[in-house]
Amino acid sequence: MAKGKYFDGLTSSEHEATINPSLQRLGIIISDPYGRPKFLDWDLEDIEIEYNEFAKRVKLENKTEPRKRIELELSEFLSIQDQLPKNLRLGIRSNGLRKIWLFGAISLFIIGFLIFSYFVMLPYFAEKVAINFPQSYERKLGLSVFESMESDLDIDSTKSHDLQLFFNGLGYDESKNVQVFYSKTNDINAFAIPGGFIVVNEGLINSMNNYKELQGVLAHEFIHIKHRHSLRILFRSLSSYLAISLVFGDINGILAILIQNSNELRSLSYSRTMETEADINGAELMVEKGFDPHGMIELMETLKSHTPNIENEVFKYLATHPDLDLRINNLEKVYSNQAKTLNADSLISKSIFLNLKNDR
Amino acid sequence: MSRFYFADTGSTYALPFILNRILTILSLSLYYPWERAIQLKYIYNNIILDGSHFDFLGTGKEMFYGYIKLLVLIILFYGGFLVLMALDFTLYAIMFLYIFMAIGFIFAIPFFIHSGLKYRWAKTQWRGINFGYRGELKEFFNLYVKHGFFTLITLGIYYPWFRCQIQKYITGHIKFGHLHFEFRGKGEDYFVIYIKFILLIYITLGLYIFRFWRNIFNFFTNNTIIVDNEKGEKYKLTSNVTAWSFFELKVINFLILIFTLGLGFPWVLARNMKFLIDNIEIPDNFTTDHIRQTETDYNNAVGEDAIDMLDIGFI
Ligand SMILES: [Zn+2]
Repeated sequence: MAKGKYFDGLTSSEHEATINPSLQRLGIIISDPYGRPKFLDWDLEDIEIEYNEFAKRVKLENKTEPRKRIELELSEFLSIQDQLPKNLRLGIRSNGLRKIWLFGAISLFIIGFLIFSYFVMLPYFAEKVAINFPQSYERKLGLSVFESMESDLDIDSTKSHDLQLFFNGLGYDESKNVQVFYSKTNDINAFAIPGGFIVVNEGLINSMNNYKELQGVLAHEFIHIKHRHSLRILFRSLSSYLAISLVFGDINGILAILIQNSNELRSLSYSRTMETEADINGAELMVEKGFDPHGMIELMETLKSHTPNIENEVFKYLATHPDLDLRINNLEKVYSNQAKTLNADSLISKSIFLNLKNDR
Repeated sequence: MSRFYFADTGSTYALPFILNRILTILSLSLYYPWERAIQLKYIYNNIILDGSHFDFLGTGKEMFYGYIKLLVLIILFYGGFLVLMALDFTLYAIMFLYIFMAIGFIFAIPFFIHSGLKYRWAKTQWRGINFGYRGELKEFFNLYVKHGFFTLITLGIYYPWFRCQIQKYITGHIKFGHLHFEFRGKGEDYFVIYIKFILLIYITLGLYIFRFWRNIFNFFTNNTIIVDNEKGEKYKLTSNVTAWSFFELKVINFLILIFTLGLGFPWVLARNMKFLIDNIEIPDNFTTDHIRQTETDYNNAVGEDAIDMLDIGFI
């Protein structure tokens, strides 16, 4: 026996009700407006049960029209629920404790999932997007970056033309999309812009001892472009920012990061793995095209020799291209593996290089 | 004990709130309709009238379809901009298109309000007696556009009358069993509230805002009437909130949200509801024992296509 309130679905009047479950039926005693008892008899098949967690009430509703209902306090209902068939019982006996466990388990799962998706899935998808990013868009993006920095670069068009000839002669770029520029800047630096732009500074060329080093620099930068390193970094930082701003609901920030990142493309710092990849794949590319990959090592030596002298300027290069000794070591391995069938005819390259270097 | 009050302090909603918030975030807000349904259940179940709680019968699934439609519209609106830029449209062309679309949105607002009202009231129950909204879309749309147009050409001066007309229509079409409601607020009274606001807000260094809010709350409550045609009786709701209580509500809510980094939202919600409900007084001679069921068939016709954009506002 349990006490509850009965509503007949026709009016809002409230009746005190006593309910008595038996095998197939639910017996209900309510008092009518004159205080006389009235007996109701519900078929269990007609009843739907619902626990209302906020009102802390159990609702038994008789589906036959007009829909009638009985509402009971949770404790009242639990005292009779064993007498009801399984489909009319609640599984909330140890409600409080079970909820805490469930909550803990779910939060743990969710936190784990979040960490996993942030550190594993997100970079993976960002990488996929960067790789499948249409080339024409990449080119547009790169062009706008290049144009925005063109005035600072002080491009020498004649020398750029020579440099382009030098580059084309190497045969690295089979699709012939990459444009190479000679910048009259004194920083010992060279860099690649997505979409196929390589800029080599006068400072770097003048510090080189021979044309093989230039072959090495161009191979290195070409790999950055070919493997879309800058785009991959952009998409990674963009995607993690996107995820964070989704969580905190700050959509306007995405625009800010887009602008900021396109600026950062100018002074892009690649990750160590990407640098190693550019070194090694660059050296391999040189071997493939029949050049002496030692040029890459000589380039590192040159950079090293300039390290203590022109500290300030070189530091920039060093920060993005760290661990010269380590990189030389890595390259030595490629060097020792190579087949020594070198391309003899590098005379044109040599003369272009000398021309670039000495013609002041 | 009061006849009409909000029963919770917010603590019973804390756990569902966090769980559902996380799910909504993880699902990129696709779960939002379910979160909303639980929130509405929490609110309705804690509103107590004469010892019985209200029920919200809506489900997340029902609200999902409407929500998706809205989401698609929003994505089209924002995403369209990027697409047009990519297609090399000129900025003027895009601006023109967007002003055009914005006007379209303005015309869509009465539709959203209508379908929201219809859904919400069809899903509201008390002691098994259904509420209902019997407004007609066409009537409401015409009313909205007509008075909206006046508001536009008077540069907003007509707004108080516009608001009262809308409120009158909406309130006048809400049914609670055989009872219905009436709104008697006059545009000119509402206008005075605004005039006072404009005159006093600077002099009081902004503090007048609390008195302004109080005036608005009292205006809408005190002009709402319950009508029982069978008894031939009308019952006027009353409210006597003070500007000070508004001040207290808003400042403490603000502090709770700041110091809990938003996690205190359930308590803020409960405080708001308590303020709203506890301050509405129902006349003693209004009895709730014999409200007849009338809306069942009508409500069954309400489709599963709700756009529940309405805020908690009960009136
Ligand atoms: Zn590099």
